[in-house]
Amino acid sequence: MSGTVRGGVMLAALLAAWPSGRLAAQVSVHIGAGARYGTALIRDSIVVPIELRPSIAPALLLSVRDELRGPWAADATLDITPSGLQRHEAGSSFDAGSVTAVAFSVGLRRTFANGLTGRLAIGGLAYTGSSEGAFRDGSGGLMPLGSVAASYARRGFTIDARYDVHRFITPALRAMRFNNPRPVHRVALTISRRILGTDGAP
Amino acid sequence: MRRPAFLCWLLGALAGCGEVLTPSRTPRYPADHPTLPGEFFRWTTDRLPVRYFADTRGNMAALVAHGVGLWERQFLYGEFRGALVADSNAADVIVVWQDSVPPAAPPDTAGAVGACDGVTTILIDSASAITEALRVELRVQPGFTLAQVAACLPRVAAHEVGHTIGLLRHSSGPDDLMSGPPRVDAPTARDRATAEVLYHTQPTITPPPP
Repeated sequence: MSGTVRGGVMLAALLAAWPSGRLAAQVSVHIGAGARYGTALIRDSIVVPIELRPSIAPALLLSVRDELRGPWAADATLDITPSGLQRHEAGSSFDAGSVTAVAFSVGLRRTFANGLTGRLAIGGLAYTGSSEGAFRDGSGGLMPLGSVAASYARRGFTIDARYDVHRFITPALRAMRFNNPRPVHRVALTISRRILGTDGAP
Repeated sequence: MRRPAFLCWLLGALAGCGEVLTPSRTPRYPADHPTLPGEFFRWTTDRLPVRYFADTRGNMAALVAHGVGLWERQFLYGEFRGALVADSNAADVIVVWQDSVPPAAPPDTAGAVGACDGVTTILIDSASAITEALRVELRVQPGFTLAQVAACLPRVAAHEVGHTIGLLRHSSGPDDLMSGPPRVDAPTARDRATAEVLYHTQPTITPPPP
């Protein structure tokens, strides 16, 4: 929950900090949805190799964008992914509960041509909504996140291909003597739409 | 020179540079059947949560819930889960008092090993199938104070629940929960490693009919 609250507070602070005139002129708000795939949160070996992996899940996005000079724009994005967890072991899959990943990132976007945009962002990600198994002693707090994305905008809609990476470990994993956080790579395909303001997109 | 160092720091912060080692599940003790060597029992995923019926007298329900919770927390991937049920006919495991029901009392902090004991009965036929619900009986030993019995019961209940999840033998380590009699209140690293390995080992003993 701390990640959700922190993300929400940062987004609210960002919105409050923007002068209202600027909001009308250059700031836009976008919502989006799509699907996300993530690599294993845990790789283990107990008699046989084991992976704990999030299932392909919906990705929900809320983003605030500010047009800068020329082709550049800055944005802040709240990205929520509620997903099931599956234990993969010896060719079989078993339900292992569910978890929600809440990510907040601030990024820089550059529009190239014909609605194509690239985005580079950093932020934090927290897991919430589970208190079982690897999450029984907590979710591990806010984990640093890096993200790149490519977008194509047309007729008010934007299609995004997003990639991000963060490190994952929880107190329960540390207690079980996992020595280092594991990098988790996620890719998402989303479609978003501007709901407030104007921007440079066609 | 500064840019590569910064990039390494950034990548390290995001993706982690160190090698991720999986923890060892040793040391552990054997978990097969003491009189049927090489025969293993554990609850399979399709039988979870394991249904426990607790004697309705005294604080048995709390003792069973405590023991089940302790063992659930030893697993990272939800390999074992238990739930209390109200109907003994719908139970996989039945836990009852063997004779007298002790009144509630604040536990003695000294622990009082021997103030109570328990026995788990598992009936296995010639085809290595458990024929009926596992049965656990807890018993109060004479000559101990109520406080000593109150300290003993959670420990012995957790030990017997350990047998019901499939740890059929006693540990030779005197500090393990699954040693007989138990002297500690919770599973140790050896208990946990043994249970984890058991729950990723192909069982040869079939659970009781649902």
